[in-house]
Amino acid sequence: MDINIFFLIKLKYTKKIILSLLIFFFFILNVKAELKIDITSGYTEPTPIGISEFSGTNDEENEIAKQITKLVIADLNNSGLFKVIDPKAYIQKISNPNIIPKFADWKVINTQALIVGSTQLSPSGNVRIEFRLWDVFAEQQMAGWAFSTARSNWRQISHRVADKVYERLTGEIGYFDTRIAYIAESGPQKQRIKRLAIMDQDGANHRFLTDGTNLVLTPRFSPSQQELTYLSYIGRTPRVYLLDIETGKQEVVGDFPGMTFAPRFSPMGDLVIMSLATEGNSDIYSYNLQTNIRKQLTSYRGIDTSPSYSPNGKRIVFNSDRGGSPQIYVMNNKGKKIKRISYGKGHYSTPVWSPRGDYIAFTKFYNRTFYIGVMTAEGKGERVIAKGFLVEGPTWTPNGRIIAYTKKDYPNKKKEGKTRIFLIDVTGFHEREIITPLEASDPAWSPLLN
Amino acid sequence: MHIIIRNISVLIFSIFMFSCTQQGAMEDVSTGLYEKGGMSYLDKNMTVPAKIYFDYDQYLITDMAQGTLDMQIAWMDENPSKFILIEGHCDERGTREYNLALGERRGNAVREYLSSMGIDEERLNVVSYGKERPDAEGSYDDAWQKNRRSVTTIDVDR
Repeated sequence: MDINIFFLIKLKYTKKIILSLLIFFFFILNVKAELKIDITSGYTEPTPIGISEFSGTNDEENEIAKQITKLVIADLNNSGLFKVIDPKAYIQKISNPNIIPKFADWKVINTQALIVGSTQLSPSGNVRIEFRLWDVFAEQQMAGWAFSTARSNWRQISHRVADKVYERLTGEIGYFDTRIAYIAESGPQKQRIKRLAIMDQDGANHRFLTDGTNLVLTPRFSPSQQELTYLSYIGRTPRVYLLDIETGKQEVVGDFPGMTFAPRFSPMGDLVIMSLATEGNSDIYSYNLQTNIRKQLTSYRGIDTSPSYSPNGKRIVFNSDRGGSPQIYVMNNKGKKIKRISYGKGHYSTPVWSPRGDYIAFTKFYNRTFYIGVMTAEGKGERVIAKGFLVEGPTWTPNGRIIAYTKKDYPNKKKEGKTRIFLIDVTGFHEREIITPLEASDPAWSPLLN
Repeated sequence: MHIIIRNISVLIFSIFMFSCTQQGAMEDVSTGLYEKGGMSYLDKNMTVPAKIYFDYDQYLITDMAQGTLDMQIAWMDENPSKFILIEGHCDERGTREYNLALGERRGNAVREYLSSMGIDEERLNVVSYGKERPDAEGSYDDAWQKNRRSVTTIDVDR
């Protein structure tokens, strides 16, 4: 601001106006916009943040604090939106969330946001975390929280910390406190052994749910997260089953006169929707778990499969070849008002409605290549976000921002052709692999734990 | 020691699953078919092929497939006590659920042809394996062609 300009002007009133304007602009330029990360529009360079170790007052607390901090850092780094600055670079050592950080020390290493927390263990066996989120360049507190839980739940509480930071900085719901169910694969291609498995979204707490005796495919979570529905080849006819995740109890869904497959729960968890194949024809049925009443929703003589409900349960998107090739259609939950929404070149299948309701993810096959793509529920704005020799079966994180899918490399000298689960942001960036003990396919992301 | 026991068990199990005929064919006890040289047959003399093949994304019976099915029909007429389980399969160039449906369409196309040629429907059942049980390993056209198939097997559960 050049005050010399002010002295050059001779007119009295103009001086006052100009002075007022100068003062006004001075204040505008000095009010900092609050830190906000936009995750909706294309590639975002990861935001550098600092996370001070969530230390405690004794060795035991410090030990668990180390693990909690490590998990929070991993969650935020793996999201692709944040880059947690190496603690070796930190100038200030701060571990008390109740004191104001020395912002200058953090600005120097370009920390946009700082998390400072503390860990306490109570005699009753609980762990308590308190932490604050600071906007470094605005030099103000963004939020503060405290969580308490049984010590054995420490992973869950750490994911909650990461969720809170993510939510506050992006405005979106976090997804770190979730699980993934999937099919663990092993053995030669001709005699593949497949087992149902479940793990936290970061790969921890991994468990096999079936032993590989029977072929199992396509697990999906119930909204309560207590059950999975999936396809299993037990006995002569492959059928849809329910599995109670805690007790391991399995039961067949309905008593249908043929193969049932492609199951999903309705948003309220009261229905399982699926395909029934008889005499060369696959139709979509809904089955009420309370009343045992089944409703036929499609009747076209051909293939109608892979049904998926909209988040409000009013509509269903599905895969049908009624137009001559596999395409995507939407209908209401009574099976009426069927409308095709896929019109690009190629075959479209495995449609899945986003929990946000905005997009439908799908698998596309065109010109010997597979793609994962998204389009709106009206079929507009089709974009491919991943491609490969074989990619299929997208599933959404509960915040509708990330998609997991099955990926198999083309087997050549460089790659063995392994089948694994990959993630990609809905923007099409930041593709990364989920590490599993065996090969993996058919991922299903859980809803949020409440 | 464990490895030795396991290997012996696998060997014994394999022998149990297969038994040799005089021509050197192995009988697969789970399908009732006779296997030799990578081909499967309904009969001990290995004259009736059990498998037919489909074009990509198709479930129509080709002329060549029809010839094979006609031989199978003759065999079924000669063996009226045998129940039949028809498997439908796909190659990996499709998504999992759609392929389960397509496999069922292929198995059913065979069932309908056999039935239209006089085989009692009561004898016939269909199971789809989608793309889960390929016959040929590998990711190229030849392997995929071999996997787009229907296999007529003896229904060992009936």
